Amino acid sequence: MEARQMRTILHLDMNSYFATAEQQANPWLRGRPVGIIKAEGRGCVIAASVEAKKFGVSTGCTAWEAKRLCPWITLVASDMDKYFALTQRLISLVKDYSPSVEIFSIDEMFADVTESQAKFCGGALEIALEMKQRIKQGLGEWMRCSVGISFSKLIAKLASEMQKPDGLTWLTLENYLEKTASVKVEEVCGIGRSRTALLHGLGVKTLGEARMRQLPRTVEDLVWLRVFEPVKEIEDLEPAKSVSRTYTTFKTVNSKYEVLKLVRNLVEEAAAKLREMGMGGRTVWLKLSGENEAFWVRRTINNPSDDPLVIYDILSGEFEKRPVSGVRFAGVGVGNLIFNYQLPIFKNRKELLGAVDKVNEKFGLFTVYPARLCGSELIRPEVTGFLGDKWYRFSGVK
Amino acid sequence: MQIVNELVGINVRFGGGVVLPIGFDWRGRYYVVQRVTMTFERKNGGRRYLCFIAETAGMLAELAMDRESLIWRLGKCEPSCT
Repeated sequence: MEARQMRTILHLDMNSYFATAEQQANPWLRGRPVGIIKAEGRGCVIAASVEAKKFGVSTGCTAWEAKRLCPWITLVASDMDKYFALTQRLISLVKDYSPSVEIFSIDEMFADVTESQAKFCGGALEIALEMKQRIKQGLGEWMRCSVGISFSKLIAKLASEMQKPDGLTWLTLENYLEKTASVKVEEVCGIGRSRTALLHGLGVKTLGEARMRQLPRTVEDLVWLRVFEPVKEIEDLEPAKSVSRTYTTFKTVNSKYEVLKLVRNLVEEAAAKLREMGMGGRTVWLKLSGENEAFWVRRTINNPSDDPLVIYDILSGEFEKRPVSGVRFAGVGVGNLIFNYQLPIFKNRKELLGAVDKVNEKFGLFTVYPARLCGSELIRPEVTGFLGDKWYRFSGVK
Repeated sequence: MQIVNELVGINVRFGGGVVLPIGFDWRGRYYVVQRVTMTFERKNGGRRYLCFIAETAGMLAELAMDRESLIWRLGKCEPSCT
């Protein structure tokens, strides 16, 4: 291994983040099985507490299934403001130990401590222990994290997953192959569904077994953990390539009018996000999943736009050509994004949208909204832990 | 937690560079804050609220301070044993 590749990377993973944050906020929930659902009435568990996981409740379970597996589970509606505030605090805490921090998702981050570890007499190990202590002091005594230390991001991430919750694992150049031999192949970041299927097809379940096989180069690099990507800071990330918004309805939407209303709502939201980011897009798409049929369309326009009316006109026009009913899921997206796009100069849409944005910024999104959306509950933005927009969201965090 | 969003009278302590609620008046009763389990910020439009999850005897309360007007509200609450 070349010397330039030998870094000391620390991976910090908050354990059952959303559920633990709710347990931190509400002491009565501590030590009890908790499932986080998106909102009251929604049927899918988006995070489960350590206690709930012991009963087999996991992310993606339906609320019904969670109740069946663990009848005394408490389902709590998610509160993203809370989680983001904790993440912001976590980022500034980790940045005290390294200038090079990669925010991998809302509850995971990498820190390159190769240089800064020299400032601590116990090196990276002391940094990790101090971080864990400060997380308890700064975020709350119930907040726990697992830390993995190694010489690459891939191995540090695997290390942090080896001891949960509240673990600390160091994989060195000498022991990493031996310690990871029994790790399941699908646990490696980069081995997704198709690669797992390929390996399982060969009768391979663990990294140790995979290492005894002749495999395609890219898969072989992953099973031998030979991927050495640098830590990417927010400044190194690229701006968003697309903006999309999806929604699963509470009940089946049958009428064409209601389907188009739903689409308009999602388009308004996606376009507002585009304007917030100062970007416009050329490719627009719409996906609808009905009970018996699905609808999918993608169109590319000549001039990039952030105008919801332009986007909606294209999508609704396509929908009118072959409408579907019984809709349970809708998704709209805008791709091919660029900055500094030119809006039509002979229309006053730019001023109008600017005024709408100003009002909505001051009084909240959808204070002003199209008349078409009147008379029903508005769908408002939801944020997930994936953080597809982290470049935009965290670029101000120093 | 149930949304309440009502004005409250508040006692706070300034110390160690932070502000912490120590008790509040709501609907004719005074609640002593036993501990603050979490602080965070909420945004609603252009307004920012500093929120405190406060544990009292019998109630978990989300107290919100409007950072512009310094008005305190009981944003949400729930009995602490539900």
